[in-house]
Amino acid sequence: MNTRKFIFLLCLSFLLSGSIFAQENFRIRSDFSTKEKFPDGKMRLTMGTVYYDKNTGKLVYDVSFPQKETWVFVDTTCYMFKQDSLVKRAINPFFQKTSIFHFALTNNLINFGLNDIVYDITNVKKEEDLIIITWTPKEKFKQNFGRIITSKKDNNLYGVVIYNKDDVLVSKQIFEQYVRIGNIDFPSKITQIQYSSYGESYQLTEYKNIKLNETGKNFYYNFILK
Amino acid sequence: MKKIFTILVAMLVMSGMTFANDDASLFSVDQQAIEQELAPLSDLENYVNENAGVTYDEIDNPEVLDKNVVMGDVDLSYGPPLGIPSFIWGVVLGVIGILIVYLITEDGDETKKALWGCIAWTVLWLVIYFVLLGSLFAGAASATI
Repeated sequence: MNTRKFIFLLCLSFLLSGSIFAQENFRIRSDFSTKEKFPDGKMRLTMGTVYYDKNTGKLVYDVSFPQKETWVFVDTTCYMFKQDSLVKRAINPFFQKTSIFHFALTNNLINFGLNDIVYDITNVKKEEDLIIITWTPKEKFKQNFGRIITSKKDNNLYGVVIYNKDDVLVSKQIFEQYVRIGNIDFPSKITQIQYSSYGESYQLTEYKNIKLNETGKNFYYNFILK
Repeated sequence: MKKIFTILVAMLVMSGMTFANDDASLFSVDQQAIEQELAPLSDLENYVNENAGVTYDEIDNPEVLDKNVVMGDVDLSYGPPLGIPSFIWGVVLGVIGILIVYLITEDGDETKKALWGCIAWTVLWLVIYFVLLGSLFAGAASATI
């Protein structure tokens, strides 16, 4: 009887642990299209599929338009491949860990990945249907960063406004049209305005066919750098 | 005194309201205007969706390619070392500048910019050298005559 009970409990614990593992998201992919307009009037359309694996830390853009190429972000480096050949390598220490894919898989999207290591929350207020939070960099980071203001709507991240260290407005991002995939909400439309001395530039990114925890397509999720 | 106090309170309230409005308005973006700006790209996007796998070079329909639509590479790099243009690294530190840019960025384009900076500096010095040398010879020749 004791053995039966033990086996039953063992099976139960396996089942429970299985359901807990099922809750932990580790991969995300989506088709994307990004439309951009720059201050000089030039425009660019980029389309393709993006893959991110939290465990390998690889963020891979399989770009189909304007030309077929693959961008791989891993650690602090970005690699650009054309027809399986490496054509460019560039340092980019921030891109991968500050992508919305990483935030989504780590349940940090609602705070735009901001935390109390670099920033202090210095103001919270509710206006209309928005909860507005002001993030001010801690003293030792003020030389490099400015304040960031985020807003939440319906318990999802709605907007992010970024200032530089001189308190000049640098960019605005609006996250909309959230879709429920598994146990996360993901914005399928992101509008960004960037401000510079040359003028404003616009970027509109749309995500479709978003999938979580895909088991195939290891070629992309664990892209082997040759 | 009462008047000053009232004005002071009114100013405080009004300034508070201004900040509040600033914060709320920060998140209002004219989506329609932005979509209007990007409209030529929407037509192109539809064309690409209808012609799966088509690339920019393969588009033979001039109507969907607005003259402002470019194919230029997306800038994936974080930029030059310390935010100083790579060209300047080449100008100021020469070969060492090129090496610094290459080792930090590992980016061929940035390294090329540093190389151009180095070449520009070398050419400038050569020009100055020959101009000075020329004027020296001219001076010497006129002194001999």
